[in-house]
Amino acid sequence: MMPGASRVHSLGVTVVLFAVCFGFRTELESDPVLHVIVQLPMLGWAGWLLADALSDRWGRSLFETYNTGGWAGLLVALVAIAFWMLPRSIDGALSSGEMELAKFISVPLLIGAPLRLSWRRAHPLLRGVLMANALSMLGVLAWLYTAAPVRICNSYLVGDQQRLGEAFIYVGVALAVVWCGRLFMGPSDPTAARSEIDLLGNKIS
Amino acid sequence: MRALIATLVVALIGGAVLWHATDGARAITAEGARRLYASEKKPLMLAVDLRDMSAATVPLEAPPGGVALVEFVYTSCPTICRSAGEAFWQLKQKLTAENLTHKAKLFSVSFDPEHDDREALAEYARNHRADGRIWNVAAPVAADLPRLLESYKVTVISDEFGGFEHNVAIHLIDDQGRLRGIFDIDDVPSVIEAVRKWR
Repeated sequence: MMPGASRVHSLGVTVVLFAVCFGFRTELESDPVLHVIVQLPMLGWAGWLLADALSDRWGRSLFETYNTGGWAGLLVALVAIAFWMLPRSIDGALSSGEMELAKFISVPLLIGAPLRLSWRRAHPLLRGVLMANALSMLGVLAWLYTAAPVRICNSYLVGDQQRLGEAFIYVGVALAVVWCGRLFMGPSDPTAARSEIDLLGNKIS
Repeated sequence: MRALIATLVVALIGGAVLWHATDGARAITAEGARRLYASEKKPLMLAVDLRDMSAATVPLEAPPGGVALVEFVYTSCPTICRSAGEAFWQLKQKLTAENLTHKAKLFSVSFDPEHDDREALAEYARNHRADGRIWNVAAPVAADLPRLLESYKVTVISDEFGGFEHNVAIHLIDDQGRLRGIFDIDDVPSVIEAVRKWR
């Protein structure tokens, strides 16, 4: 259970994030770097915080039953991420009102919220696999967007596309540094510190 | 168990959504989708009259039983429209050499009618040796332009140098006014092959 004050705080930040993404959509979407590296993650974050504020109202037992280990929720998020990684989806969000609406709904509710409701349920090994995958995927995207000889999005200039590729590199490196850095800090969970854990997460001692 | 079923249901629905979103894993870009749409749906394109480099009004249409090959350009373009012009020149040469000129008409259509007046079109034609018979350089009236681009699903955006970027391709239109295929501008052999087989 979240204390009431921090629930209100989460809801407040959700509303602010969503309002900024929506209110400044013309500015944010005029540049692919702002669109993909700023607006989309902000929308996801809004969904994460929304789930944070509402999660126990949405039925803890329901998630215990259907989202054991976080598999179903993570898969929802991965499908939605894959969908919004398609260049034609980004083009669609710029050229069609329905797709734009779908973006504002699906990125918070089908990426941010399920990640929040599933990430902590997921096995540490699964989390590690997903994080490693995210880094390699950012690398692939960086290569694709910097090296593609053709325009990938019809709505953006080739030069902007290359800047987006470079931004993927920076994001990937930053995430790698943060995530690896945390490995060097040791386990943050005090109970985990007392026992060694093998690769499958089983306690050895 | 129920969690496993929930996961499988998500996997099935998710797979179907992504399959649909990529036209069966065949198009991940808007341009790829546009080309599939052309070859599978044979959509009817907007019929417009153009004003060409000699100020004559010409309909944007294929000769009976033949095809119209259409590319979109703007004459002040420093880069890619030049290669588009070059591709059309090669097309014209090959069509002439293979005696296919009765089956195809070439249109370089300007999407910048504001700047591309008769003189600009004529100069572009001179530079690229467009003769005006098989190959015409022309522009729609400004009022028709948005609907024309919408019909071809061509996106034109301004670049930082006062020019434009746009999807550059050769569009093949049949004599019913339907879009039947979209080719890369450097894929002249495939275009020739399509015209040769056209009946």
